[in-house]
Amino acid sequence: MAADRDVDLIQGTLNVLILKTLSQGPMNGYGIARFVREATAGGIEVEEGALYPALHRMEHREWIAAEWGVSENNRRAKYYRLTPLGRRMLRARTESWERLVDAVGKVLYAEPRRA
Amino acid sequence: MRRDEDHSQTREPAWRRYLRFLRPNPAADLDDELRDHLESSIEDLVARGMSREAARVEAARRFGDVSRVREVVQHLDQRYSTQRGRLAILETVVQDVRYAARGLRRSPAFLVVATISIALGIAANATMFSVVNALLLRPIPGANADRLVRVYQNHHSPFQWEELSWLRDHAVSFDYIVGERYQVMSFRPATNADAERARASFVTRGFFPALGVTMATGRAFDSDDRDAAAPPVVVISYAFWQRRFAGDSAVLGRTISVADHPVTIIGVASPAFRSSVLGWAPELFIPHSIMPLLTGQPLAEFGGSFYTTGRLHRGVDMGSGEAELRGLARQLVLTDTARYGGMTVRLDHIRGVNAEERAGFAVGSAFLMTMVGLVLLIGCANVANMLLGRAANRRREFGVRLAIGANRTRLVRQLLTESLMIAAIGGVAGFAVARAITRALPSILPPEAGVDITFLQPDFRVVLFTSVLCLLTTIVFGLAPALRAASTDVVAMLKGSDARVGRVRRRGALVVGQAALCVVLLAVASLFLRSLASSRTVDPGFRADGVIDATIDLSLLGGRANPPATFARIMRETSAMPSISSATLAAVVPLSGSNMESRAIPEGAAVQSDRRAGSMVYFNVVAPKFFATLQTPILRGREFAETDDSTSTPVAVVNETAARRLWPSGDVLGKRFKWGDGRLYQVVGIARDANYVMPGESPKPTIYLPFTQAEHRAEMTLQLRTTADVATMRRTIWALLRDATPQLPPPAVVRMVDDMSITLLPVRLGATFLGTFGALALVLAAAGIYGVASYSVSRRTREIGIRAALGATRTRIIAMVLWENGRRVAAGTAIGLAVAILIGLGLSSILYGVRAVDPVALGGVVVAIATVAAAASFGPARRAANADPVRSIRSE
Repeated sequence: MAADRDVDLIQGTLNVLILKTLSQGPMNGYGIARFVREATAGGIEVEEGALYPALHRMEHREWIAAEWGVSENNRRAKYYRLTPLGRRMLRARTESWERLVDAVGKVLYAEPRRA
Repeated sequence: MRRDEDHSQTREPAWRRYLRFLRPNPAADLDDELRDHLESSIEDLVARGMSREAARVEAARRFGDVSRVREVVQHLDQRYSTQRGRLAILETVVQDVRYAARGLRRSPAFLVVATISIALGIAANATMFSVVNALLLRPIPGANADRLVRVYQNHHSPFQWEELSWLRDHAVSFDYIVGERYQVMSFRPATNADAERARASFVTRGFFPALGVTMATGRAFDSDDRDAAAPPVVVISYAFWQRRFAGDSAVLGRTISVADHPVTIIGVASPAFRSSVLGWAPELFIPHSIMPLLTGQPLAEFGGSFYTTGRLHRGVDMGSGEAELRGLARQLVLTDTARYGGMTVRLDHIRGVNAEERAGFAVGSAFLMTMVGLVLLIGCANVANMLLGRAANRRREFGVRLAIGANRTRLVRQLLTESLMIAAIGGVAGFAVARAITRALPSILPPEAGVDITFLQPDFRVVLFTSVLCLLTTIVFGLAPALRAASTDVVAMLKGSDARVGRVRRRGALVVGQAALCVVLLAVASLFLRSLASSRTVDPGFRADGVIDATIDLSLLGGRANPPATFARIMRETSAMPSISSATLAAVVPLSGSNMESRAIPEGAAVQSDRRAGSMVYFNVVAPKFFATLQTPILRGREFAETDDSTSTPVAVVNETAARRLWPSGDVLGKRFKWGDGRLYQVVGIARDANYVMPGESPKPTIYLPFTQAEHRAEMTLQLRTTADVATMRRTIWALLRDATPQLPPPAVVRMVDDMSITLLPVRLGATFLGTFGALALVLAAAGIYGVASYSVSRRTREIGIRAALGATRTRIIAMVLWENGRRVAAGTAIGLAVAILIGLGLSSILYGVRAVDPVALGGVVVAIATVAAAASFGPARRAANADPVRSIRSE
């Protein structure tokens, strides 16, 4: 149970990170991984392979859409982009994330009260 | 040809280019995607100065387990794609239905006419099938049908009491073997109330548990009730409880009077249950053990009248049950060969009516089902016709849709969805009508008829039948037009030109078919009508006009009646009345729907077994002056007289055919024959042949016996030749009977011609049903002919315009249009007549006084169809003739 919830949390976080990344513009899987790594300056260490289940799941849910193109080195590459639905999801998730951070922060930094 | 080449040139490369697009390959896509990731990662690292080898290792480390990721993602993709596939199918179905609904809403006139065409056909079919289902397929209502079988002796006869009790007491393959004997009895709700008729069933031990029938209230019989010395008890039917006692629960324990004996009500049977025999609706269930008390006859004297039902022991099949009963029957025969000789036992499933009636019903049902099938076909032809016309008007729409890439299968599917919706709406409406008709039918029969047809109501089988019929109907009327619509040439469609004549010809063929079907129905219906008419003019061998019948049933009083004395008194008193010129009694009124048959063995004939010797003859038991009253001539000898009484020599009158059959040579007067009662009767008169079973039948050998000498009968019909009207005679007879037998409910008094009308019932029903179907067919065909005429006129606008411009007169144009359709109707009529004549030949056994090639009947049909066809084509023809030639030529 607890482990499952951890997975959910991680997955949910990963989703938000991907959506945020794609809000900059279309990108392939590696592009997303590099952006996340650089933006967090190594603060979040994710196996890059873990991106793909999340990407495909969100594609099926139509939060993101994919298109096949050709990379600079002439390889077939799949480029993901945000759909309007994905944009709404990003906004909703960002707000709830902020509320969570805010709430957790309040608890963690609260002044101990006297009885 | 050239277009085909263009096609192949453009199609091939497109096929290759879009191979992935058309048939996605998710596994290969995923490999490409992951390869791209790893290569990009390696390139990145190399660009930062790593060696290629180290970069490869670092990229793999950062990525993690590639094969595991591939597995997870593939699984994920698969799950989503099957989900999407299901959704997609549902979505297309919903789309098709929406599209069809939109199309139908846009043309309400088409929708209404099409659904009515189908609904009428479905209604006729569902009604007929409800009847067939109830009469031939369904187990008896209200009973637990599991392991229930009907037990017959010989072919399909009921059992005598001794036979039934022998089988029941010895058989081990059965949990129960029970018998039911039906009889109408006199009933009084209280000892001082007026007498009424009540339908009663005498039932043997275990009747209710054997059939799995529960009580709505009170209890069933128990073994104590079977004791002949126990106080008499009765279970009443639910309907009788509601009707006669207003469902009052205080009825339990109440004492009523049956055949003038007090009996106590102990239970009310469950509402769904009627009887173990389909069509019977007894109101009173009485233990057979008190039959002797109520009827005054010992059980042995009832003869073969117990309809027998068995419930097989669990795990015993019908074959072994039958084998056991056959063995038991053989043992019984050994005990008294003369009495039981030749007896065999047969088991049968309990489905619908009894075996003896089933063959007749099956033939009649098959015939009527065919006829209603024709009505539905005509309706289908109409709808197919309209769909073809509709397709013609929507050609441009289809063309556009095909041109922008709709596929043809999809188009066919959408058109079929539309057809299915028409069939479904028609089916639901038709089923509702059928249900209403079957609900209304029981109320048409008078309650005195005692026949229960509430079981006709449709059940799941009828629903299933109707649904299948709707599907079939859709295919019959919808498939061809849909395929045609989708198979047409896109370019021609878009241009709106259509040079082919096939369409008109096809619709013309529909008119031929409709006319043929319609003529078949009308011709068969008119044969029935003609037969009905000619049966009124046929000479039955007696004169029914001026004879009034009163059926007096002393068996209602059971043992309390003394039939010989009572009938003698009634005869004496009626003969003395001045308004009555001649009075007699007859056990059976000729041509009234019943008859009696038995075996006569001429004296001196070689006899091996009583069940085989002599001849089967029809017989009747009558009083003196029978022949005088009915005005049937006695050719030789004399008819019965007062002096032929129980003390004198038994005598008989035979008709000409019986005389020839029993004694092919020599003088028949004075000859003697052995009768079923064991006595020798001497022939004292020969009567002219007269109809007995059916009007106009071939002469049947018939023997007449005097009621004073033959085995006495409790039910006889008083037949009076009188100039008085029925109402007067009814009062006279009621007054007379009230004096003679005060406990007897008043009998029905009717004219003999009305009594006889029952024999014409099959023909009258046939005439009514088929007349209705024929009229329906004519209306539907008229709509079809009109449709085709309008269509063909609209297609020939230009041609007709040119003709008019070149000087064709209005009359000529009208004649031309009429002839175009007339030709097709004539062809259809010819086919229809040929088929109708074949059917007529097959029906010759029920249709009398009319031949299959009846000029009046067939001529009438031709006139009817010709008139309707001309009327239906005339409107379009006139429209064509009135059109402005200039505008017509410019059209298109």
